[in-house]
Amino acid sequence: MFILKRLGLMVLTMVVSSFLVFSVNEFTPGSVASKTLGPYASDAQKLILFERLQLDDPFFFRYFRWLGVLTGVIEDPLGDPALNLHFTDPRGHQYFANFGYSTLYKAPVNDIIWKRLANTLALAGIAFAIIVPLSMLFGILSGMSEGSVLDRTLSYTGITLTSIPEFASGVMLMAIFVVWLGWLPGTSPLLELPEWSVAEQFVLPVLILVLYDFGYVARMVRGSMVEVMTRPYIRTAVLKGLPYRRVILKHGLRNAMIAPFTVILLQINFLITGVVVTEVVTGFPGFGRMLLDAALFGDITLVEAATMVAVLIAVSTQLVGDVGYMYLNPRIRFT
Amino acid sequence: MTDQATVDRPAASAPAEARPGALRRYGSALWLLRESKAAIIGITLIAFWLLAAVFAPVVSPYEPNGQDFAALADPSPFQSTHLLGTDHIGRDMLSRVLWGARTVFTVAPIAVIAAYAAGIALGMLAGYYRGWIDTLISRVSDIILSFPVLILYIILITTFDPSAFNIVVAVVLAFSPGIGRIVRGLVLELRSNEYVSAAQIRGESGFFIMLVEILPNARGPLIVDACLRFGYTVITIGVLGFLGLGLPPPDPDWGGMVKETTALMTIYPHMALIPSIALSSLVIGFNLLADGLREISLRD
Repeated sequence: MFILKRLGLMVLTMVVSSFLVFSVNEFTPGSVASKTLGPYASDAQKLILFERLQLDDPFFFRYFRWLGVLTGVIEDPLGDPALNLHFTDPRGHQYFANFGYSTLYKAPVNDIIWKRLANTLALAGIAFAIIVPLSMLFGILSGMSEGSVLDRTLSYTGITLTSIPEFASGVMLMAIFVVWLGWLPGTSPLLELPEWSVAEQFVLPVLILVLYDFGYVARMVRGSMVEVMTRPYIRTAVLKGLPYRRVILKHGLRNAMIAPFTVILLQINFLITGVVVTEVVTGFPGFGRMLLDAALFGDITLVEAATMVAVLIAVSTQLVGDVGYMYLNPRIRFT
Repeated sequence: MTDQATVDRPAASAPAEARPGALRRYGSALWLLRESKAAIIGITLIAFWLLAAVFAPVVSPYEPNGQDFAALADPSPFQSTHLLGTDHIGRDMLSRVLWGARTVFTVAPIAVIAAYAAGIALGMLAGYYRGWIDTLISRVSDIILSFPVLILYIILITTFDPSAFNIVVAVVLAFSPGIGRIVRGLVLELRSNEYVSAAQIRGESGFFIMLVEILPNARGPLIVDACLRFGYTVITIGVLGFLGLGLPPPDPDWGGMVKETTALMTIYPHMALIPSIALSSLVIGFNLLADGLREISLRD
């Protein structure tokens, strides 16, 4: 029942965001034709496209037609060869998740978006695999001994690191590792460069993400651990003579992990949709940079598609977070 | 920070004699901060940049947009003519960094105050009246909060063009649901207090109760949150500038300065490093102050 309700909310969020994104991008019909054709189109071409796309229809009609193309109910009108757009999609012009044709990359959106998303997923995956164990370890250690030297050091390191935006830490790290020491490549196009392997090109973006996110997650884990350690059941466990290790592992950890669990899951969301800056500063060919380029270019099809994918990722991680939270915390499960 | 028991306060009619004046109260609040080293460092960093912003026209050695073509041959820092060097088109870095503080200290406060006004209104309405208005506000907030923030900024600003006003609008849209959620929680907690029922029985309007009875008592956690959001807004302004969505050039903006000069990183790293350090130090200031404030409020 709970999951069903969450699923319903998730679908609602998707529909609302699709409507918002569509209305922001396509509210004025004239701009749709000129943006689709690019800056060098003649007025005659725009007029043909305008008629073919039926752009003078009411706004809601156009929205539902866009949804229809996306879900594969109707054929994409841009695929019409009479338009001379050379819009060719090997998947055909009518299928589920037909995101249309990118005017920036001159290719079907589905040819570009998934490759970029895969790159970002690789980056996010590596960063996540480092951030989580590292921040859990330090968060738990400092939460166990509140006010100790380790705790204070970690606390201030964490504040400092999360305060430095990714482009600033990117610039600082580049100054050290690229300019001064020459250990790392300055850009990460993920191509086999003569001097730098693809693996080496991953180091800098991963480092930027780890530095930016580690302090935040560690502080969350620490806060939760501190709170749990003051609970009566911990005192009881210590007083009844359990070894300290066992108290921490059995009684402390499980309870301390409940609150940061959601925070940790939300990092997946951040690492996939929030890494635009890291990708731009390191020249990494990822999903976020693609979205930024598309938005700056005025490629509305790609912006709409990328936003829908990003929102889908966001709501899915939130759903997983809620279900996991429910599973970890029996008090919520039974109410 | 909960030194004021507002329970026996005779509404807002007469400023009771026993209550110390505003200056004394805020003065003592500041005095309390001396106990936290973090807060002192934080305030020092913020004060430094605030002074830089205020006195930029007086202390900066050059016009922020003026070009010194003689410096193009060697823009590196630590020279007698240009202390922090010049940028890629010969503009004095020190002057631009100082003027950049002005940009931050005009846009960020407006954005944070506007976001708080909207967030407090939403949170109060939802928490005080409950019912359908609460459901509506909470649902819409959930939807906005689940939307990736950076993508929201990119779409809004590329569609409506970069400007200070649009940055403020984007920040308000992204922040107010979160602020609303915190305020709602605080209101739910406070509305069961006796002084709220007393005001209700007196026949005060909901508007009066929310603003005069509830809001002042919710200020502790809100001040800490505002500090954090201030820092985060500074980051946001920087990030937008870096992505090319910030204030239009040529006026100095820290994020934009980094964007323009990262390509020259390998030759003249100071051009991108100096604004990066400036921005980071200001954000560190806000976050340290927030941490210090929280520490002190927990101690009392």
